[in-house]
Amino acid sequence: MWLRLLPLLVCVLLGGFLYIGLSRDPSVIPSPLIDQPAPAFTAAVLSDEPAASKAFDSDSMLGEVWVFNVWASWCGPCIAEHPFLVAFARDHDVPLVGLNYKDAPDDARAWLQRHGNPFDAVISDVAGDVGLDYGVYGVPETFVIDADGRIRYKHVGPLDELSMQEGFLPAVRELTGADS
Amino acid sequence: MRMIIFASLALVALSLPAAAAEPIVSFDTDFQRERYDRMLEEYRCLKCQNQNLAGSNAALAGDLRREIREQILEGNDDKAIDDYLVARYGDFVRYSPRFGGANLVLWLGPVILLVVGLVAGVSMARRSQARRTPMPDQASITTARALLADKDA
Repeated sequence: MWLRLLPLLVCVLLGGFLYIGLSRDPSVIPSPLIDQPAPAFTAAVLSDEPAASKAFDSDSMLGEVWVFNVWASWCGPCIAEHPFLVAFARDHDVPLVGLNYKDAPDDARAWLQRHGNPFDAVISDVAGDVGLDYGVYGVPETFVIDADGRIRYKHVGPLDELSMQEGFLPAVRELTGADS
Repeated sequence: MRMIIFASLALVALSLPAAAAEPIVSFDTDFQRERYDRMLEEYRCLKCQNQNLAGSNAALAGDLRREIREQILEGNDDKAIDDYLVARYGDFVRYSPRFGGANLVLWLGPVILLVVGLVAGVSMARRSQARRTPMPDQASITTARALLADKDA
């Protein structure tokens, strides 16, 4: 008797897997870094005066929740994302650090001048070494890092209204305990 | 003849740009080069997901090739390089999934399905055999032959 039901069972099982497969975005890869310590790094800050560039130490962010956004002047979707970052920086008291990934510093400065600079600090990662440690595979990417220096949330691709409201902002709110 | 020579030269000329696209990387030993070539085949470029590191022109693939080469030159073993890549990009970066965890479905699923299929097949074959009509005995065959012969006559 159970043999009669076997084809039906197989169909339902296969259908279930295919249905799950359809509803997933293949370009979003679950990051193994979630809830892991954010890779520590020291790198040059992109400053207006290249000669006076300082170093940024990721350990200096320990003790507060911060947002780490990977962007580049050559990245098209970053332009679409930018207004959301500007609005976030305006409305929230959470440090926003930019990682200028595999970019020419001059291009990056020109880009920030044209589109506005929402970042509290921008790190220049010309060779992409910091990006490599954070498992960056597409720009833009956004990380939320907690006071203990752990990556708690990661968004791949440009932030938009939906991903801000349903993923990113709730994650920031949960960590900061603020209801803003 | 001249035509054939010309055609082969043209083919050679066409194949050159592909080989020249990537700067030739140097290693201390042939063994290191073999490891490098093998590892580039085994890991995925996450930017263009259906290409491995050897086949991808994406900047990310270039960075990862450079990283793998540096680690090989530093003397890191395959396990260390594998851990490095998986820690950053997850199991997805490997073309051959690790044995264990959720990947057990991948490794054992086909075997389980095969066994289920075999059991189902055998049990169905048995059942249909049991249902088959028995062979007629010798006497009925003789009778049948005689009847047919009568008809032909």
